[in-house]
Amino acid sequence: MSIELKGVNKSYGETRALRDVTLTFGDNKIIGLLGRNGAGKTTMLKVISGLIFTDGGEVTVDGERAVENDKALGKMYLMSEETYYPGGMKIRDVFKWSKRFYPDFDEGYAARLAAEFGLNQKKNVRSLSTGYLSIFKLIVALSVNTPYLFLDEPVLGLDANHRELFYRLLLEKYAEKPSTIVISTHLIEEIAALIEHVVIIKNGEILRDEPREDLLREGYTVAGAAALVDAYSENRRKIGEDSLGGLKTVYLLGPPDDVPAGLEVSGLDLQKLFIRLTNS
Amino acid sequence: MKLKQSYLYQLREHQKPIIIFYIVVMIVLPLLLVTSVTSYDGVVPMIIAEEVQGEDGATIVYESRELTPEELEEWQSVQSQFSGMDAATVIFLFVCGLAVFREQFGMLSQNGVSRKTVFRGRIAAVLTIAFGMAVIDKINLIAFKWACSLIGEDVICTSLFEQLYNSETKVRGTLTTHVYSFIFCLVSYLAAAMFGYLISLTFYRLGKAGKISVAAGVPALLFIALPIVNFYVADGKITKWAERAFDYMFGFTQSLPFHAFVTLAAMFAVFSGLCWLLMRRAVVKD
Repeated sequence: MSIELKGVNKSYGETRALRDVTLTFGDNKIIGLLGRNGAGKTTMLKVISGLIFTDGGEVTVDGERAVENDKALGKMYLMSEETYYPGGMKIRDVFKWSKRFYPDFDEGYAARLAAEFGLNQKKNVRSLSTGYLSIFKLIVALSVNTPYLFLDEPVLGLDANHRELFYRLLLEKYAEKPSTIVISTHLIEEIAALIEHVVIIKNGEILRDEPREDLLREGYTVAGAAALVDAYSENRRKIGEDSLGGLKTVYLLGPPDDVPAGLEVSGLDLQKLFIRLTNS
Repeated sequence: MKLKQSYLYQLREHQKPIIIFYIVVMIVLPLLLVTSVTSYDGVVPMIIAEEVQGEDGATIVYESRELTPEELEEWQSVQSQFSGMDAATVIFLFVCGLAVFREQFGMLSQNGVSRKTVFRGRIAAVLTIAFGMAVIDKINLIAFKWACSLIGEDVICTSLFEQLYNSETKVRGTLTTHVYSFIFCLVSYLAAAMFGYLISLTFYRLGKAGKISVAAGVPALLFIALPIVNFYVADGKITKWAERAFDYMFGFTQSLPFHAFVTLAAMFAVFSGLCWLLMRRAVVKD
């Protein structure tokens, strides 16, 4: 049970958005798909969902070719940054049609989420603000109950309260009915605790594809008095630092060794590692 | 396979426009009937202008002449004539075809429907809509003919088919005329709906430069280049050939409606085929 990309290429004119991408989205995991702007995240998700075609390579869903395959396409749902629902359609009608297209769509759950987020189901899609448009699409995504769910910038325009509510609901849903959820976002700090697996894409190529814990084991964080931290980090591979008054935090690659007393050692920050890995 | 959902969704998308269309028809037609009956002044033209050969034998001139007794009798028997209800449906379905593609394609693709199933759903929906509207238009026509007959013999109501194939309808009995008229409507509606869809799909697939080229190029070719070539180079042969071909394809002169049935059905098939060729590689645009 997995979605596999084998040697997938995609170009837009001179720009190569995906370069020979081979990747597997395994069974029942929350996966973070991370990359800088224009790295190829959205292109990858659109290729998988059949919205656009590859220039080469193939995508399979549970062993079946995904392209133009209703059965394979029916096993996944893409919450896209763009809105493909008709602007004049009411939210409640979108829920009804979603039920027809995805038999496992839970209309009752969608209605409950709409109430919890304060989304008026009588409104047209076109009349929603950016934040509520994201909320509306998130509700459909959370209610659709497909084995594979792709969320492309799911919290775009959401305030902190709604973002927190979404993360809670996502975890509840995952705990209740595990599925493969791929989240593509720039808010790495916010999803760092949610994801079990990380895929980092840079210039259309897969840079890293490994469990989050393995990735974070590549380095560590040291914090303490600035002079002490500087002395410790002097000959080590530093990937970032933060200072506040006389206190300093540095992010280092490699295993922690010979840490002097007075310094506090903790795990690596995913965002710092991401920045380090994806900087040109 | 999500064919049923694709079909139902595309059918449902037409529901509201069709209801509005028939509400307008139901309001406008009786109003036309009432106003035409009350505004008729009983004056009958005694003289008409007719196309005749000029003195040089080459030019066409218009000469006035009196109506023949037969023409006068025919004119006097008709106070008002209502026609073209089905022509309105043809235009309506063409416009619907133009309008629906982009949104439907996005919605269906968002819901995991393949292009193949979108296309099959479209064909099934168009067949259903064309058949349904042909039935409704036929019922409307019969009802309206009946209403006209209540008012008097001098108010008549005809279908597009009866207008185009007048001699055919005089030869055939009423039932046959209705059946032929129904088939004519059905294939006309199918061709119109698919032609609109084809234009919409063509523009969807084209880039900016392509859209401008087609939007400017086709009218320029048809209304500027072709008449010039026809007049200066081909000595009018192109229009004569086109007239003959058009006449044969639709069987107007010989009053052969079967020609039109076959032509319109073939147009529907060709438009559908072209739509599929355009749709199979279409991508969902932002």
